[in-house]
Amino acid sequence: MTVVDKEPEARVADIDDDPDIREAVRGLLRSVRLHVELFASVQEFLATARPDLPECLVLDVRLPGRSGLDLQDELAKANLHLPVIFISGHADVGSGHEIRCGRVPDQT
Amino acid sequence: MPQSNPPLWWSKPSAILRYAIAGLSVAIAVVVVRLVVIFLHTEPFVSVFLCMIMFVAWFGGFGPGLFATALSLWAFDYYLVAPINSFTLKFNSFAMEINEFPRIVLFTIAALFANLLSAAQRGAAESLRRSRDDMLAAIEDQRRIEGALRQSETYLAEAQRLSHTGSFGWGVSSGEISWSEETFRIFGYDKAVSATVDMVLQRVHPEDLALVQRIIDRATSDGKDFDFEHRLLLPGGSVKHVHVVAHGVSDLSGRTKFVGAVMDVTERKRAEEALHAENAERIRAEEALRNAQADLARAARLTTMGELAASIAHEVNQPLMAIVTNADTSLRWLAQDPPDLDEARQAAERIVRAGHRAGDIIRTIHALARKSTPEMTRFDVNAAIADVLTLTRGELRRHDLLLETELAADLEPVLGDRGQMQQVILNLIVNGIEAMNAGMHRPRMLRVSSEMAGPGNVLIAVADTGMGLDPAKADHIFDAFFTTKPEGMGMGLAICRSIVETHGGRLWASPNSPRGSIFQFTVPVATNGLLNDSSG
Repeated sequence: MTVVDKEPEARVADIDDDPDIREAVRGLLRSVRLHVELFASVQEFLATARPDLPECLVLDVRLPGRSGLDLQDELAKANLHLPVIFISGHADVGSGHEIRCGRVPDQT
Repeated sequence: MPQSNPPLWWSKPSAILRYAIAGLSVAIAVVVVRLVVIFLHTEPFVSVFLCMIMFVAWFGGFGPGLFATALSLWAFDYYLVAPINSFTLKFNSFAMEINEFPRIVLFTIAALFANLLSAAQRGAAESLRRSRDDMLAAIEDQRRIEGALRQSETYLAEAQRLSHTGSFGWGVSSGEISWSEETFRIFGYDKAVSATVDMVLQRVHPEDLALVQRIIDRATSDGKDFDFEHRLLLPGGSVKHVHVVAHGVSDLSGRTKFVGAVMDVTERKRAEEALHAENAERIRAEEALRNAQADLARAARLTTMGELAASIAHEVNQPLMAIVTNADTSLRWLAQDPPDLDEARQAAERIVRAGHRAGDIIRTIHALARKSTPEMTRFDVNAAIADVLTLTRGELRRHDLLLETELAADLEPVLGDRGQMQQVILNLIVNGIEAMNAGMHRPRMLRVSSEMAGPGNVLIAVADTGMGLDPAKADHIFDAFFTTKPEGMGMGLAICRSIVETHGGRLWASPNSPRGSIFQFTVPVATNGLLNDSSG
């Protein structure tokens, strides 16, 4: 799943269950020279052994099984403060108080 | 003339009686002669015996006459040949007084002559009598035949009246038309000896006049059989339908004559028209019912889709989001110096893919939402299920439900209305989602499967791990207006069952293990070559 660019400057993990969105995000970030790892679910992200954490997370708010918000909570509890970018296609998501940090406007 | 055979005024007596009468007559003659001799002193032997012989010959015929003659001669011999009053041998005729001989000869000749005359008269009388008897018998036969004929005619007229069928004969060249009583009645004329073509044309319905005229003209020219129906307009304004059949025959001199029948089929026509109207009415009613059912089904489908509106919007939004992102990416690669055309092209290809996906979703929505009369086609059940899952995937994800599919690869195409079948699947999936939302049990898994269920049927099952069916209510879940949901109308499952049964399948519910319920239904597979394929 991992594609390494010629000159990687930063590593980003994208978790989204929609393959089209995943591919689109990877393509976009590659155009700004970011190395992207793609995961279909939080479980898959957690199950993948890594030497170090990514520098940024791109999360779909609503994921099957454990949601992006759950993961953010877990990371916060583990005192791991990563910048998180939430994206969502759902119009009913985005109430700010749920997303405690790294808040960015939805792309939609 | 009396009805029975008249008794014969003379029946021929038996031979014994006739000969006995002959003997008796001779004896009477002898007595008469003796009495005359005693009282009148004269001897009328010849005249009395001739009278007697004439009577016997007349009464008994030639044989008894001869017999009487012989007896007379014997009596003659007894009384007149010496020795008188004796049967002593008198074979010597020369012993006879010579003056007696001519008397005997004359008597014999006279007797024979009387005998012949009487017998001949008798024969003539007999022959006359027989002729008369024969004539009487012939007259009787004639009378009987006439009676039978009259009866036969009565039967025929009665049969014609009962069957509303009149007969006719039509001499084409002479223009002579003969009608039976019933034919006169059918055409509304009083019975007459003959009819004319004009009488027919006067009664023909104006709208059929050209047709009848054409057929009469053709029959006149070619002499061929004809068989057609037309209407009559009677003076009272009533309309009759008649069926005319005629067979053309040529007589010895080559003239054409038609023999035919006119059948009054008015009642049959009316019955047919009534039946026809009834049929048309029934077809209209069935059509209206089908339309109403289709409208109701569509309304239910739109309601279900309305419930899914947010999820469906999301499903459409996903590829649109990907498209926007990919387009942005592509522009970025193109804005570089030099532009990275390969990367830009890859992004553009992703746009195309996402665009197709969005198009597919829109098409599916449109197919389910459009108003269309049910159309039976052959279609692939798995493709139909996949379309429904496209629409419900967002809903499943929104409620954090897992989806498991097990679609058999060996399914035969089924016969049915694809939209209605998808409606049933959609309804069952939405019901499953709602059943699982109501409870907090985990895992929350919806399982959609398809398989061949014996020969000729495809089985589609939707299983959830929700709260399951209340056994007390399980019997009623397919009833119309039965609902367990506060905002539900209670038509969903009733419509589903109606759709499935219209397709010749069966829909039923059973408990899932360890929890939840399974709704499954069958659809008959399409028999080969009956209908066009409908692409999935």
